[in-house]
Amino acid sequence: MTRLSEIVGRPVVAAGTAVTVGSVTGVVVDPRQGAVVALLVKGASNGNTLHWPDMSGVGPDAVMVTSPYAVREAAGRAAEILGGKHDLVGKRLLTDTGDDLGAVTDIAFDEQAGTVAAIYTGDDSFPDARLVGCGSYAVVIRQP
Amino acid sequence: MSVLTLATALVGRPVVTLGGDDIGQVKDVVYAAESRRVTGFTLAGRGLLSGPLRRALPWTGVHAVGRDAVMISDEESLTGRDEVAERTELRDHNLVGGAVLTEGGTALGTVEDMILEVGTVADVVGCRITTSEAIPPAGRSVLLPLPGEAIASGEALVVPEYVAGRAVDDLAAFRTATRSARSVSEGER
Repeated sequence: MTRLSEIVGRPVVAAGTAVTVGSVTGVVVDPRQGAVVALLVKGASNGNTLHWPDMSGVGPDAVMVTSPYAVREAAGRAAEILGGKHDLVGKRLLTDTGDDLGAVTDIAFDEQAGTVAAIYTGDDSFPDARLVGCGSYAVVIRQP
Repeated sequence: MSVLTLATALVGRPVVTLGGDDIGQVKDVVYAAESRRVTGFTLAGRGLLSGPLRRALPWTGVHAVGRDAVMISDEESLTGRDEVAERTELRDHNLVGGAVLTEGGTALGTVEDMILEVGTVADVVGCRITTSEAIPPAGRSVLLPLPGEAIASGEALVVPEYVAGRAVDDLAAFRTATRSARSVSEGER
C-alpha cells in the first residue's frame, strides 16, 4: 500500500534509459472505479499525466516507466476527471447517509491495481472505504 | 431506524449529490396537512446572497437525511418547486408562530418548531412551543406530542386535551415519552 503523501515528490524514471523523466505531484482518482487511474508528473516534456497502464511499477524510491513518452497529455477518463473538482485531499468526507467524517488528509492505494485502499482524515482512517463520488463539496463514501 | 429532529435543525443543511456536489440547502420543510408526512423540501442557493431555487426536492428524491447533509442521487432527483408546493398546503414557516389550541379551546402556547421523526419516511410527531399560562410557568419552551387526531392548518394546531399533560423539556424525554405512550396503546389492543 502506498500513501499519496509518500508518493508525492518521488522521481519517475524511464527503465530503458535510466533517465529521470520528472517527479510525482499528485494522483487522479476515479471515484466510480474507486481507483487511481493516473499519476500527475511535473518536469516531463510531453505532458503531465502518467496513465496507470503506462506505468511499469511503483517502487519505494521511484515510479518506473518503460519510455519517457509514457508521461503525456491526459486522455480518456483521466482527462474527464481532471476537468472536474477531482482532488480528494482537503475536501470534507461525507457518508452516503449524510454524516460528516472530517476533512480528507491522505489516501492510500494498492501499488499493483491502483485501488484506493484507505482514506484518512485528521483523526481517523477508513480502511476499505468504498468511494461513491468526489465533487465540488465533498468526497462521498458508503457508510462504513 | 428513525431519529427525532427539529425541523429548524434541517433548515440550512446542505443538499449534496452522491457525486459530491452541493446543489443547494434546505429552505423549508413541506408537509402534507392531513397525513402530516414530510413531502419534500424547498431549497435555497448556498451563497450568502443566493435566494430561493426554482427547483425543490420531493421526499421520493431523498437518498438519506444525515446529521450534516441531505443526500440525493443526482440533480435528476429535483423537481419544479411548484410540484412540491402544489401537493401540500403546509410549510414549516406556516406553522411556526401559530397557536396550539386544545379541542376545548384552551391555548397551550405558540409554535416555535416542529419535531420530525425521520427514517425511510419523515412524519411530524410533535412541536416545540412557548407555553401560555395553561402550562405553567408561562413563557417556557416545551415539547408537545402531536397524536394522530391533532389537526393542523396554516393558522393553528388543534390537539386533544390530554396533550397539555404530556409536555417534556427535551428530545430525549420526548423519545422516552413517545415510546411509553406507544407501548400503552399497543398493550390496550
